[in-house]
Amino acid sequence: MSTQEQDLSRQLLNGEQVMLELPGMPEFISLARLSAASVGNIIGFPIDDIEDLKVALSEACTNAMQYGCDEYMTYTVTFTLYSDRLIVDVADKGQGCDFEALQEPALNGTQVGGFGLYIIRTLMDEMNIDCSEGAGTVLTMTKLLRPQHGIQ
Amino acid sequence: MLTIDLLNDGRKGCKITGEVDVAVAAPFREALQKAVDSGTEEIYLDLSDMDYIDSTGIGILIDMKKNVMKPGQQFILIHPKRSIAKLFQLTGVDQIFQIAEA
Repeated sequence: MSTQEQDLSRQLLNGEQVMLELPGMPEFISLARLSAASVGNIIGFPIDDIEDLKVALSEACTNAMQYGCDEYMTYTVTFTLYSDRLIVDVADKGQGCDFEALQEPALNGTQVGGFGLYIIRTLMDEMNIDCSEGAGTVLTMTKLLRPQHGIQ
Repeated sequence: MLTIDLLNDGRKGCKITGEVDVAVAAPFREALQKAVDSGTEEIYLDLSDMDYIDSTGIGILIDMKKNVMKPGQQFILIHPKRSIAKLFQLTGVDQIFQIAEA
């Protein structure tokens, strides 16, 4: 496909969705990363933003796996593609949030864990967590395509 | 996929190639533990071919410094990729370990 054709198909993106249902096993998180890279590429994110996206999604998947399901359960990753942004939902069917993980971590090398949500918040443009006891958790994050990186 | 090889340039330490995430946390920790147990003060970790590290891997690095390494022991993190250096900066890893270009 030529660059022009790619630009055209990118402009037409309007909420198309790609869904993955992943087993709650760590070996499958790399599959989510690969998918994030492909989807980010379709929208036209620069390489640094795609790296951010991969890191943030991995953290969200790790949380879903550790707090939202066991190895016999699954969680879902849904990418929703627009011409100017990507929205990613990570939904598990667990018991709710790990509220300790929601705290701001110490960043002076003294804290060993609890960086996941902080990293997501820092690397993505928006992050929201929707959890209610017994009904699972949905983490929604958005990455915007910056105008200078957009279609001329 | 993660591979960990001993450095063959005379320095004590290892080269970490591939992706460090929760799936390979155990072998990653084990390799670092082994390097620390050797008693070497300056342990070089060549990260030039490390493609990715998540918060689990970062937590292991910090845990080594905080709970396992003896005073004076140090990891020297060699040439991390830009995206990884950014994560080290975000999480404070750059404040506890030296990051070197080569």
